[in-house]
This record gives sequence, structure tokens and C-alpha cells, in this order.
Amino acid sequence: MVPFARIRPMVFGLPFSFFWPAAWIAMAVPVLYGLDRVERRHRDGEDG
Amino acid sequence: MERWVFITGIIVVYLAATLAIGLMAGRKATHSVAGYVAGDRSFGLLVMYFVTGATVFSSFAFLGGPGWAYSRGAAAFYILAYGVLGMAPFYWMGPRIAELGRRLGHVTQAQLITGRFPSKGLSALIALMSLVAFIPYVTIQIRGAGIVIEAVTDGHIPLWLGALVAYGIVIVYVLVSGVMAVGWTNTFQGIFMVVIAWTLGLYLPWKMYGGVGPMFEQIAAARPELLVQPGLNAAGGQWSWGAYSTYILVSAVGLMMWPHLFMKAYTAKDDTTLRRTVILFPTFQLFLIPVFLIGFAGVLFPQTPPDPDSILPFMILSTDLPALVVGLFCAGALSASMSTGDALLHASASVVVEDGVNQFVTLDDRTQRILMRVLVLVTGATAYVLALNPDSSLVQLLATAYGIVSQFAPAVVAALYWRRATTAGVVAGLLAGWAAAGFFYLNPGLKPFEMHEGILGLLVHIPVLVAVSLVTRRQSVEHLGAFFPGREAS
Repeated sequence: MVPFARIRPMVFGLPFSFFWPAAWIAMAVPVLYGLDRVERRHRDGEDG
Repeated sequence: MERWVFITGIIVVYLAATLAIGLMAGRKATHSVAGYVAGDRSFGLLVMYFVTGATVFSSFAFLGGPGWAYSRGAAAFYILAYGVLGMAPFYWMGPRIAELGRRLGHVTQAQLITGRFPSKGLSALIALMSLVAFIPYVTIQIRGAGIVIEAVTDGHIPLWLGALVAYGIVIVYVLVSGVMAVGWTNTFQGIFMVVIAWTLGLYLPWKMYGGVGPMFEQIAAARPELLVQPGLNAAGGQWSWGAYSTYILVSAVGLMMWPHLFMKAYTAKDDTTLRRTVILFPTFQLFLIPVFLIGFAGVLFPQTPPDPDSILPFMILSTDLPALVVGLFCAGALSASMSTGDALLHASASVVVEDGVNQFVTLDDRTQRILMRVLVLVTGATAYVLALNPDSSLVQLLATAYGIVSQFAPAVVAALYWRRATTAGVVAGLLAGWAAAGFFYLNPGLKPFEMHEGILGLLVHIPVLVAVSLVTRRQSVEHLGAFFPGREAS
């Protein structure tokens, strides 16, 4: 029923249920960095 | 030389290095309350990164996390899920809180809330509830330190003595150097715990099973129920999705509401540092992966630890690792414990003095600092006594405390973003939220879908805050002007 609550496929040796939250954590850095760039441009626009 | 003596030597070297760093750090701060509590608002990115990571990840993560992975399997993944969710809103809230702190002189969470919602009673109530939540949290750290030292010295240094020495050192450097010691010791300890966790987390599965993949293949064949969410409950039955998801939610809401973490917004030197700390935080959080691998490595191990929270030291001692590695592991585990314990002790004293005592008695700067130091001692001693006689798991103790601190979130959000909120609304919301959380904590059988009592508290808290605010008199334009400068206060 819940798509990530399963063992296979295993990724990098980890069960999918473990890989899924770990991948989200790893992805959070580039996502937050991208968000920061957009925010900075927005703030610079307001200041300018 | 006997093995345990060699290991004890490594622990002594580690503790001496931590003490030296803590004492030297204090020389950088001014002798004022702002210096002791907020480090003169001077922390750069390096210190903020490690102080945040090392403070968030404590004995709860280093010992309790593997304990849950070992005994409850995928249930432990809730700990993986909430960190980023809880930290991300601080990207926006952190700089706003820091700016108000610089302008209005705030150094604690309650000062922000009661600055916007003036009430001495509210301030004292927040201080009291913070202390109630802090004590089990400090207890976890002290017990964690004692468990590890007792285990790696084969019982030659009992839990009471190991915990006493480790936390005696913490208390000394917090007393002398305040938050500066917390910042610089956390940097040292943060590096230590991450390196140790990754090294052992990859080494143990390789030594015992031939690698991470082969380990999980064997667990999947023998105990597949451990590898699928929501995992198992404490009794070994299936945990519910209601409990799993609300544990994530309450932890995410509560994470940055912990006063000792919230107060770090006041220590950053500027807004850019705060935002970059949030962006980089997930890289620290990845250290939970090797920590869980150690817990899973114990699943098919033929021997059983005395309790799940001891699985990590049990595995270390049962796999014939060199004494040097065991000593370094112990130092890593102590880092996890002490880096959170010091921040908690420092914050509990600061909160009680600034938000409790100061509301009713006028104290000069010097007296406040003395009183804070006395309270560091009192809180540490109370938690130490409790740590010697625990009756609950490390994760469970902390999850319960989250029910209390998560109730601060609506008040903080209302203070920062909702101009129509009133003091009466915030007080009524907090009281209703804590009452509801307390009721469901004492009557777990009545929880709908086994939801965490903190979330049930918030479901009562938020409507009460909104309803009471709307029926009470709105705050004056002049008062709101300090919190929403340059915006129409309506």
C-alpha cells in the first residue's frame, strides 16, 4: 500500500525502505541550496 | 597492560582534551549575560554547523537509534525522516528570530514569545515546562555516558562513576565558559562522532557478513518484518502507521522548539550563517545511516545484549576489535552524549534565570551569571540521580519529552507571523495543548490511531489559540510595530 515500505529493490546494499529516507536526506542539500539561490535573488531584488 | 586499563587511558585523554577546549573557549567571550548565554552573537559557519549537528544527535541517536534498529527494525527510520523536515523551516524563521534578538535584546525563546505576548506568568510557565522537558533529556545523556564507560571497561568503572566523571567535566566547562564552551567542544565532538560512526558502521557489517548488502540479504531472509515500515512496537508486534507518522510529525515540529536549539539562532554572527547551517545540516544527519547499520548488524548475532540500548557497545565488545578502536568508539559515544548534555545544562540554567526568576526579581548581570551556574549544578545533579535508576528506553524518554516542547511551536509561529494573535490566545492554547497531551500520555488506550500525544495536543492547541485570539482585544499598533517594522499592523 505504501510504495516505499518494501525491501526490494535493494539500492547500494540497502533495503528500499532504508534507501528511500536516506536518499531524501541526501537530496535535501541541493534542493535547499537551489531554494537559497532563488531566495537570495528575491531579496537582492527587494533591496535593489 | 590490561585491555580495560588501556581503554580507560584513551577515555582519560579524550576527556582531558574536551575539558581543555571548553576552558580555553571561554576566554573569547565577554563577562556579560549575553556573552554567557549567546556567545556575544559571534558563532561562524563552522561552529554553527557542528554545534547544531552535535546538539541534535545525542546518546538518543548514538545508542537509542541502533537499539531501535536492532529491536524494532524499520521503526527506527522515523528518526531519519524528521531531521530535515524539522530543520528546514528554520531557514526562514531563524534569521527573523535572530534579527528580533539583536534589536530587542532577546537571548531565549521565552523572551521572543513574551516580548510579543507580554505576561510574567507566561514567561515563568515556559521556563517551568522547558525544565520539565529538559530533565529527562539530560538524564538520557548522562545514562548514555555511564552505559558506554561501564561496558568498555568490562564493569571496572561502574555506570555511576563513569557518568559522574564525564558529567563532572561537562559541568566544569559549562560553569566556566558558558555557550562558548558548548560551541567549541561540540565542534571537536561533532567531528569525532561522525568519523567514528562511519568507520564502525561500515566496518562491522563487512567483518560480520562480508558487506552491507550481504547483511541485509541475510536479514531479509530470516527477519523480513524488520525491514519494512512501520516496523515493530516495543512488544515485538506490528507498529501502526498512525504512531510511525505522528512520531515523525511531532519530532519535526518539536525539533527546533527545543530551547537549547532555538537559542542557537541568537549565537550566529549573521543571517547568512544561519541559512547556510540549515542547508548543510542534512550532511551531518547522514551519520545516522552507519549508526543504524551497527544496530542491524546485531540482528542475526548469536548473543543478546542486556537491553536494546546497549547493542552498540555490546557489538563492539563482542567482535574482538583492537583496544584502540574500542577506546575511540567510547570517545565517539561520549562525544554524542556530552555535546548534547552540555547544551542542555547551559540552556536549562539560562531559561530558568532569564525567563523565570528575572520576571519577578531584578538581578544585576553578575548575580544572574552566578545563579545560572548554581542551576547548572542543580539540574546536572537531579538528572544524574535519575540516570542511575531508569525505567524506560532512551528513545522512548525523548519521544515523550517531544510532546511538551512541540507545544511551543504555535506560540512561536504566532509571535512571528500572526498579528491578530493575543496573549490570552497563546496562554489558553499552551494550557489546552499541554493538558490534552498529558491526558493522552496518561491514557494511551484512548489515543485515536495510536497517534503521538504531542500531535493530539497540537490538534487541541491550535484551534484554541486561534479562537481565543479572535474573541479577545487585538494588540496595539505601537506594540506590533516592534515585531513587524515597516508593515501595517492589522
